Formats: sequence, C-alpha cells, structure tokens
Amino acid sequence: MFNRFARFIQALIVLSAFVGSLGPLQARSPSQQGGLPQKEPPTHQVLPLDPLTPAERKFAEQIAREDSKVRELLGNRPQLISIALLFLKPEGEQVAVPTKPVAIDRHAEVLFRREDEAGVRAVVNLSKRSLVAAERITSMEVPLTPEDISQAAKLALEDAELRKALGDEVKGYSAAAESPGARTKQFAITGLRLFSKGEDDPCTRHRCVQLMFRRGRDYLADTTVWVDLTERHVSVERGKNETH
Amino acid sequence: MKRTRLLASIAMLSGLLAVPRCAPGQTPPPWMPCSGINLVDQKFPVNGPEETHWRFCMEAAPKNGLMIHWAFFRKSLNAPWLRLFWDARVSDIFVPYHSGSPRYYDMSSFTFPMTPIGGADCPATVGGTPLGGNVCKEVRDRGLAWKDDANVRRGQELVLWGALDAANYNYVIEWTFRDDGVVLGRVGATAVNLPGVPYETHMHNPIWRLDIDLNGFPADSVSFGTHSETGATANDSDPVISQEGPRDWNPHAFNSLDVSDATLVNGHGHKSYYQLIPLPTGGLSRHQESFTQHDFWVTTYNGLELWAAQLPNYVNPPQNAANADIVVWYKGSIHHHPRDEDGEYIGHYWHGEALVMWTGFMLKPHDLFDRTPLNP
Repeated sequence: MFNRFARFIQALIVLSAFVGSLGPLQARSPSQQGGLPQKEPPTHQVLPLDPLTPAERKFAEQIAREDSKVRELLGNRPQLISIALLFLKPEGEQVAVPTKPVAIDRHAEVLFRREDEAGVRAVVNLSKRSLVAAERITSMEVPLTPEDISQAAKLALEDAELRKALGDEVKGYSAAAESPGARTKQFAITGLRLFSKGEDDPCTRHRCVQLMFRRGRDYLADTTVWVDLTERHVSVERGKNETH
Repeated sequence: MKRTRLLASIAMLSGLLAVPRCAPGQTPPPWMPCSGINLVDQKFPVNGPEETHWRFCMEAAPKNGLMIHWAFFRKSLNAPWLRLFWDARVSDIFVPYHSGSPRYYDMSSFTFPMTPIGGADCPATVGGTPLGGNVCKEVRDRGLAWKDDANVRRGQELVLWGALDAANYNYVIEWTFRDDGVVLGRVGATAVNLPGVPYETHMHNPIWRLDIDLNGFPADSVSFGTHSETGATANDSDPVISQEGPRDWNPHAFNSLDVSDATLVNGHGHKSYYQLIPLPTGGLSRHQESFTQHDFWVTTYNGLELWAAQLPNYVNPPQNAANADIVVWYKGSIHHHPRDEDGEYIGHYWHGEALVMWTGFMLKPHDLFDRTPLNP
C-alpha cells in the first residue's frame, strides 16, 4: 500500500515538474498567446531554436505585409525573397546559466524585393505578433532566389547563340533548383549573382546572373552567359578556352 | 494499477527529458532552446570519467550554412557551466577575382542550400555520424596533446561540419570543440574552378561573426593582445578596446582579440579570457571594399547586424565597447592560385577537382582552468 502511494506521489511530482517546466516558455506559437484568431499557426509547443514551421513562415509574412510601415516601404508588386529564423537576445538576462526554460521570443527575418530591385528587410516577433524593425535595403543586399536562376535559365535557353553552343544537349538542360534531387541530374544550370565593375555597367542597378552549365561533373567553359533579369536581356560570349 | 504505473513511467520519462539530472555536487546542465539533432552534448574523454563537457545548439540553414548557438562549456565535473557563444556564424564569403570582376558575395547574395552529406562524407569508421542529412558530426582522437618523454596524453575533439552548395563551389563550414576548451572555426573552398576562367587567381574571404557572451551577455570586454620587442627584451600588452572599431593583425606582434568578463576568474583569482587567434593559410587579404581593409572588428551586440559588408557602418559612430555586450568579427583569406592539378579542358567543357583549401581561427581559453585537465 505504501509503495503504491509512494509511486503515486513520485509520479505527481515528476508530472508537475514537467508541466511546470513548460509554463514559462515564451517561444510558443502565437495562437497560444491570444490576439488575432485568423490563419492559425501551429499549436504544438516549440523551442526558440526549432526551425520555422510552414505556418510560422506564413504568419511572419502576414505580420510584415500587414504592417503599414512595411507596406509603405514595399511599394507595388513586392516579391517575397526569404524568411529565416532569427535568434535574438531577450531584454536583460536573469542568469548566465539558466537551468529552467527561458522566455525567448521567436523572431523571423522577412526579405522582400521591390519593383525597382531594391529590397525591404522586416524583422517580426512571432511570439508577440509584432513588427520589430523594417528598413529599405539596397539591391545588393537582396539575395537571388532559386526562382531567379530558373527564370534566367529559361531566358538563356531561348538564345540562339547559346543553343548553338550547347548543340543537341540543349534539350537536357534546366535549372538545378527546379526539382528536388535536381543536383544529381546529368544536365543542370546553376548561377551566381554578378556585380558590376563600375557605375556605367547596368549590373550596378540591375539584377544580373552569371549562368553555369553543368554536364555530369563538367562545366561548359568556352561560353560565358550573363542574364540581366531586370531587363530580361541575355548576353552570350563564345570564345576560346582560357589558357594557363 | 497498470495504468497508474504506465502514467508514472511516461511522466518520469518526460520529466527526465525536460529537467536534466546531475550527480550530487554537480551544477545542473543548462536548459537548451533546441532539441533533437540540433542539440549537441559531448563529454570528454569519450570513455571514462568526465574531465570537460560541451553542450550547444547547432542550426543548419540555407544561406549561412552551419551556425552555433547557445554554447556552454564545463571545465570539470563539478565546475559551473560557462556560456561561450550566443551565436557563432560565417557572416559572408567575399570572392574577388584578380581581373577586378567578378566580385561575389557567396553568402549574402544568394540563398544557397546545404549539400547532402552521407556515409561517404561522414564515415562511422572515423567517428562520423550524419545529422539530418546536411551535417556531419565527428568525435575523434585529435593527436598528441602533451608529451614529456615517456609520459603522453592524446586529445579528443568534436567536429561539426556542413557544406554550402555555391554553384560551382562548395564551402565547407567547420566548427571544432576540443577537450581542452579550444574552439576552432574553419572554412574550406572546394569543388570546381569558375567555368570560363578556371585559371584566374582569386580569393575566398570568409568573415566570421562571433557573439561571445562569457558568463552571460553583459560586462564583457575585448583587449588587443600585442607582443613587441626592444633590443633583447620583449613585452606583451593587452589594452582594452574601449570603442567599436577595427584592428589589424600583425604576425610579428602575435595580435589576438582577448575576450573577458568583468567577474569571471579562475580558482587562482586570475581573470579568465578567450583569445581569438588567426590561423591564416599564407596570408590575409586587403581589397578595395572598406570592410576588407581590416582583419578584426569589435562591435556591440545588435542582433540585426549580421552582414559583414556593413561593418564600417555598424561602427559609425562608435559605441562604447568596454564592459559591454560585444561581438567580434574576423576575416580569413584563401588565396586560390589555380594549378594544373585543378583540372583540364575536355572539348568545350572544364573537367576538374579543386581540392579543399582552408582558412580559420582558434578561440583559446587563458586562465580559465586552474590547471589543464589534460594530464596523464
């Protein structure tokens, strides 16, 4: 009888410790903190450094887009570029080595591209459902996306000079990022953001990409392809192989 | 009755997961804001009684690759845990080619994914365990730690690495946590030279952002360790860097950034600090871009200041950096002068293998221990 009672008490203590440990956790889904009911984010308990869920990403974008300051910065037809988890310090610190859950709000950085190629960086607090900061950023600070490479690849593959350079293999090429596992494809197009040398170069202001054409482990080397995505212009330069 | 026991067992198991246990006399381990494969916990030596212990979170993400958060170290079984990092990451990799163009920002200008990692990259035979498909964890012997004639001590380390798939290049981002409290950060450039100009010399400059929080966020200071000689005598100075700003590394001066906390001392009452020591491979570059004009930068914490190219703006106007919540930055360089070994043309295509070239740094504890734990 005593053993049963002791086991019961033990279970109660452990259970209450477990439940208690979850109590002060700040990094919980916004739906658990009251406020806006629409577009419910996930309801499970999350830790501050858990990866953002699809629902949280959607929620981060929503907070940013609904903020008047962000809307003003975005202008017309902004494009969502990326959403990333930010691990920001809470205001003040109680103890250097916390042994119990610490209230750390979950934050996300949301990047947009404006119609004029400049960008907007919005930082949102998912736990408090609020905007922390919003600023306009230069075109250079707006990263390319896999969609940019896909778009550049499609434009380039329509270019007669490039089609001539690729010969019959042109049919096999597509952007590496277009489908899962595409990196293992025999023919794939990848690319890098190109920045200009000087003010007279259009790529100072435009979104320019240098494309690379990979066949197996090898890269097309005697043909250089640049795509100005802002102007939708393709430049192909065929030459000799560079000498050592 | 069976149901009660089951409930008690589940509750006990849940309790164990939520509230880590420790032996009598030990400081309880820090609560961690991560779980699963993102929570890394490693004691040393791997077998036998604990001498030192690391516990931290890792994050593997597109764009910035492998990052470390919330890192704690315990210097002995009964010592308190010490926080080292809030966040450690490669902020960017700047890649200028010798002809002046292209000049790539290989992290900030693209959201590159991480490459897959499997048994071939991360074999169990060398202590490897793939984590989540993009990260390799290796726990291994690190060679000789100490020797005195026939008395010998070998060391151990935990290495985490992952690679960014940056078009023709792969960037290997590696973090090493050693049994003696040392942390090493390295970046390796590998894969294939730039198609079109595979023989053009270029640089890969990784810039690390290290948010060091010794003993908690506030009251940290950075000193600039400098060695100098006059005639036959030498002197070492370590003045505090009072304001945000850059510093240059001089190999003859053995410069280091020494990060200390206002109240952190060892058992002898000596101030404990971590030294950021460059481990250059050949040299450290300078380019026309102003953020590349210096090797070190010290800034005060701003969680939104993450981009190395903005460093000159982050320190303007300079804020007080003494007894503050500080962040240190370091730029390494890989000078890649292509060679015949890198590959060859086969028809219109370039076929090659650019073997890994590394650069990095060491974070070394100084007067953290009362005496090294690595004794025979």
